[in-house]
Amino acid sequence: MKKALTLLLLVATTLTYGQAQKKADKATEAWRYEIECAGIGADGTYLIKVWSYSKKGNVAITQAKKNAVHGIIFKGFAGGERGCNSQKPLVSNPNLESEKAEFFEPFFEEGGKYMKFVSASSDGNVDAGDRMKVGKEYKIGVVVSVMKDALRKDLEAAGIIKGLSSGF
Amino acid sequence: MLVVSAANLNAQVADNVDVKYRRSSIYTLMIHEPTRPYAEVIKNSFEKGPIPEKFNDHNLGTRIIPATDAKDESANITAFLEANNVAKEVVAKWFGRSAKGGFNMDMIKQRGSYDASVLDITKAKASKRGLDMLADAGEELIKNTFILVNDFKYVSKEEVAKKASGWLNALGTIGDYAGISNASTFTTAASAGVTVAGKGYVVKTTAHLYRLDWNDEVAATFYNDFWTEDGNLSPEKVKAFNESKIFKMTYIGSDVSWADVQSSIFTSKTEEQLIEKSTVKAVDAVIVKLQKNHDEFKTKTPLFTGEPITAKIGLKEGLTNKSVFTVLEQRMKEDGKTEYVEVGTIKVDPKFPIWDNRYGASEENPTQTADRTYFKKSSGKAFFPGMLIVQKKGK
Repeated sequence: MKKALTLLLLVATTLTYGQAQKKADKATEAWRYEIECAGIGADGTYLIKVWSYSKKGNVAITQAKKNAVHGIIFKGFAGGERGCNSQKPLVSNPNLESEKAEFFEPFFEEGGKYMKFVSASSDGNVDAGDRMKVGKEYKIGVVVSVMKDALRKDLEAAGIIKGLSSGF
Repeated sequence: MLVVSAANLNAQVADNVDVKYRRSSIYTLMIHEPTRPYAEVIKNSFEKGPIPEKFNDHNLGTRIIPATDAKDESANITAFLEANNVAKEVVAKWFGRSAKGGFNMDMIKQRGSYDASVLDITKAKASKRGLDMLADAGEELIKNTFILVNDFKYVSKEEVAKKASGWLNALGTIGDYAGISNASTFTTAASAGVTVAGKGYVVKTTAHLYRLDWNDEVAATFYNDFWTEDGNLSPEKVKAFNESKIFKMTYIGSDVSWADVQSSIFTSKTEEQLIEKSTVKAVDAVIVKLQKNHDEFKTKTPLFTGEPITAKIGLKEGLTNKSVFTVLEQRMKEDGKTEYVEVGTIKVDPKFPIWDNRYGASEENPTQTADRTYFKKSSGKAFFPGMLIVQKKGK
C-alpha cells in the first residue's frame, strides 16, 4: 500500500513538473524575455540577468539559461551600471534564427547544446527583488553566466557566424 | 491581506522596499551607579555578557557611563557620548586606527565578507573581481552602526511584597515600581504564590539607541582629509582626524524591556547568580524588542525553495526555534510601481537543525550536512523561491 502511494505521488509529481515544463517551453518559444548586464563576468564570460516570464511560480532557471544564450546570440545588452559596457549580439542578421532553423532548433531544444555555454551563477537562488507577480504571471530575474568565447567559437565552427579574423 | 511599505514592513503600501538585509554592528554600554544594590554584580554580568550572534561586536574599551541623580539619564548619556568622542572612536574602530594614527580596511573587508549572503557569494564568484567584491561591500555596513545604552533598574519582588498589604496587591505594585504599566505580565508570579515571588528579581531596562551618522558626505571627507596609512603616515591628516568634529550620532529612541527571573524555594542559586542571569535576560529582551521595532535589525532574505520551505539563513542571523517570518510577494501594480504583499507566515521547523553558518562553523563542525534552514508553513498558500521573508516578533 505504501509503495503504491509512493508510486502515485511520483507519477503525479512527474506529470505536474512535465506540464509546468511544457508551459515554460511554450513561453520560451515566443522568446519573451529581457536581458541586462549584471556585472563584469570572469574571463570569456558575460554575467547577465535574464528576466523571464512564466505562469508558474517555480519554473524559471532552465528557461532563464535558454533565454540568456538566445539573448547573447540575437539581442545583446545595454551597458550602464556595475562597470558594464554595451554588447552587440553575436549575429547581426535578425532573421538568421529562421534561416538556420536546422541548426537553432536542436540547439535550443530541451537539454540541447545551448546548455554547454551557460550556468546559473546564482546557484538556484532568486533574489527577493527579482521575483515579481505581474497580472497573472510571474516575471523572474535570474543571474547567469554565459561562456561567450566558447559560444562564439562554436557558432563559427558551425558556419553560423564568421570568425573575428575572417575580415582581415 | 497586508500590503507593506518602504518605511515599515509592518505597515501599508509600498514602493522601493529595501529587501537587502545587512548585518548591524553594535556597541553596548550601561549606566552604572555604585550605590545601587549589587551594582558590581550587574556591571560584571553586563561586561562579560555576549553580543548576540546576529550583530558585529563593535564594543570599545569604555562600556560604563557613571549615573547622575537625574530620573531620566538621556541627557547624561548624550553628554557622555559627546564628551568621549564616541562617534569618532566608533569610526576609528571601523578603520582599524593604529596608535600612530594610520587606518586600514581589514575590519571592513572581513565584515563585508561575513555579511555576504549565499546569493552574493555565488554572484561574486562568477564575476571578474571574484570574492573581493564582497569585501568592498563592507563599507556599506558602516552606516548600520548602533550604540545601545542600557539603564537597568532592579526591583526585588521580596521587598515590594513586604511593603504591600497582600500578595495580590503586590503584583500591581511590582509593575508600578518597575515602571511597567501592564502588570498583567506578572500572572506567572501570581499563580506561583508569595514564596516563589519572594526570591526573584524583576529587571527593567530602558535602552537608549543611537545610530552613527555615516553618509556620502562624511565618507568623502574621511577619505580626502583624514585617510592615512601607517606605512606612509601623514602627520597633518592624523592631526586633522584628532581635531575633527564631523562625526555624529543620531538618537533614535528608547525601548523599555524587562526580565522576570523566577526562582523557587528549592533553588540552589545564590542571589548573585540570580542577578547575573536576570541582567543577561534583560539585555536579550531589549535586543528582541529592538528587532521588533526597528526594520534595520529584522532579518530579510529570499526563500531558497518553496517546497520544502527553505532559506539560506541560520545561526549567523540569530535564528532560533522560535523564529517566525512573514512571507511577502512583490507585485507590480497597474501604474508600474511595485508593492510587497503578505502572502503567509512561516516558522522554523524544529524537526531539522538550524543551519550553522557562523564564521568558522564548517571547521568546528565538519559533520554538518545542512546548508539551509527548514521552515514550516503557519499560514498562506504556495510559496516560491525568491519570495521575501521578513523576521517577525523580534525572535
